Amino acid sequence: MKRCLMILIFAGATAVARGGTIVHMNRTDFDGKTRPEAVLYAQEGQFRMDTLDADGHVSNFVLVRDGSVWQVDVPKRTFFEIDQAALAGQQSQMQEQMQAMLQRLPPDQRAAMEERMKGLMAGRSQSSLTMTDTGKTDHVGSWDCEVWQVRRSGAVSSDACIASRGSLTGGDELVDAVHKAAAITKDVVSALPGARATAQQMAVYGKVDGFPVRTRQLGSDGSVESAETVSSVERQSLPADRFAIPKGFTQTTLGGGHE
Amino acid sequence: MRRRAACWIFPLIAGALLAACSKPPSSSAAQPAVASHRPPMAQSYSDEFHYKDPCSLLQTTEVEAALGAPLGTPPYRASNGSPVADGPDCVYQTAKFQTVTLSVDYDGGQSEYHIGDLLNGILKGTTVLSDKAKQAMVSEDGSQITGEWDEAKLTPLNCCIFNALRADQMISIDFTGSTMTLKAAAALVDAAFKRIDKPLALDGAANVAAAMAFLGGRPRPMKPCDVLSRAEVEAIVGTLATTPKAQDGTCTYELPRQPGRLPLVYELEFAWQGGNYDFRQDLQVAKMSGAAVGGMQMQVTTQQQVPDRPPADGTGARAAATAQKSAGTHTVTTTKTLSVDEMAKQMNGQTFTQAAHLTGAENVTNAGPWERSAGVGAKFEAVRKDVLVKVSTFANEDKAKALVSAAMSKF
Repeated sequence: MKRCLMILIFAGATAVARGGTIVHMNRTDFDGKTRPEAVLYAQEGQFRMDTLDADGHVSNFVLVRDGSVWQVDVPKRTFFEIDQAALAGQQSQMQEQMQAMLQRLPPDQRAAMEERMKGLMAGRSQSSLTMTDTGKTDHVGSWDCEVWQVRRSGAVSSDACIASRGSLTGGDELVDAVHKAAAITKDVVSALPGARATAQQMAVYGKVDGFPVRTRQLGSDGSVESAETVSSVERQSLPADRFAIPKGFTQTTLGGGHE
Repeated sequence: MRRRAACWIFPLIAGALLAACSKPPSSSAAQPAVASHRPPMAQSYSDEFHYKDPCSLLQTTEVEAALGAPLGTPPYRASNGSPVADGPDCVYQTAKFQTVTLSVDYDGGQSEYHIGDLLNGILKGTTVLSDKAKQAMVSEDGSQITGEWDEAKLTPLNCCIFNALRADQMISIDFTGSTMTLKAAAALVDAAFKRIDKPLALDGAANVAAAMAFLGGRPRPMKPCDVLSRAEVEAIVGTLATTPKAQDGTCTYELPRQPGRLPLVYELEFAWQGGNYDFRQDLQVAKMSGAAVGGMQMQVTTQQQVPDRPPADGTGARAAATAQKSAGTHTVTTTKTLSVDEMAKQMNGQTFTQAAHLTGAENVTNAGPWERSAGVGAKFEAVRKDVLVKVSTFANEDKAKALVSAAMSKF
């Protein structure tokens, strides 16, 4: 009996130790207003990111688990899978729409538009993304962090202050889940010709051994356009349904059609 | 659209890729089924995402009591009457498709409430609104309507849209598509306000699929001249002069012309959706027209010859002096102010609005295959399964009703 009790206590302790991590993030816009922006959930390699509306309600969330990425539209009660085939189909549909639109333009305008699009596509496929450690440190909330810079085609586009996994509550769970999610996302987008930069980005994120407690979007003059900051990190055992699509929601495809 | 989170984790998923996915669902945008994995569905229902649901403010039973009939489908979220999971309205529908719609503005109610103020002000300066309509917060039985709101009003030019405002939250109930009374509708709004901070666990989005199936059971629209065959029509009204003619939702049946008489026609008109709504609006328009004409005041002067009476005293002598004297009699002239309705009643025993079917009242004794019916001006109107059928009664009222009855047996 005593042995059984010990096993139960151990099992309980394990469950707590293997509990999930919840990260609350705020967004501060250039006007200085701050509001809740997103909530991240990570547990046993599963990952969910909620985007909040102005009232703090979940407007949509991305779920990454079992090698798949799902997008859930909460107000519409719909969801769809983001996979290579769906993305390719979506891109092809957009190209068809663009071609149809071009056909309606006068010849001179069409030629100019086609030239611009070529340049845009070339820029996308050739753009490179790099992340470098600036060697600087900062303090965000209760966390010490290292400042990294993100450069897109050579220009600094954003920076991130990364706290080590050890300094974060549930840091191991969180960082492992992020790595896994980044790897899956990289796989999903790698097939898309225009998503080379994103695939690179995912690869880079997968290598960072920590979690960004602050990210800032920077203007071309280096000014901060907006910032997302971690406001709190909790450790909590999360129910399995937190990483599932809510019952009663309807599956659609990427373009919005019902399956 | 605001910029999505530049969150470190999924900048592209949350941005560039999904921007293309944020357009509303439409059949034209439908893609082939491409999902390659089984969706990880939750095992049980959760109220995690249940908020700002207009269907969570009223118990189904209290709406059924106000409607006087059970619902045909659970309350569902809708937009412009169509079932959609994120719709701002909650629709309550009886098995016979009578409809009440509750709309909730959880914020921004002030501006929404005052949108119609200008129109209201203009209408109050005219005779378009009856006195009863101006006193919007008095119910049909004359009792005062009160509730959990700061102010309330009826939407102008409509009998049955009640709006109530509390701080910046507004609740509206549109009961035009039903037989519900203003008193009952206002009581529902009162109940909804009381629950707005602690809503019920009713999920209107979850009932959308059931609602679509329910609405699929509505009578299917038909071409107006296909509802009844020519033989069926001739069995009721007699031989027709020409082939029935269809235009929009109306079929016209013309009888042989009699020399020196006006041509006789029956126009049978169908509205295949929103019949209850249109019917009540027609009654309201009729009522307003009836009030405008029947309430018109006019001076009526009558002259009466009465026998002379000997004066009893001096005052009598003065009165007699004002009358035009004649041999043994005199003329008494009386001027009265009467309304058109009063005058018609004195002459025919019926008010003008009653005789012209402009009272706005339903006919509760007129039995037929319909659920509701009334004479409205020069037409007879009836509703069955939310399909409104109207017919002109000029040729022969009984035969016109028989046509409606025969048409309604087809759905």
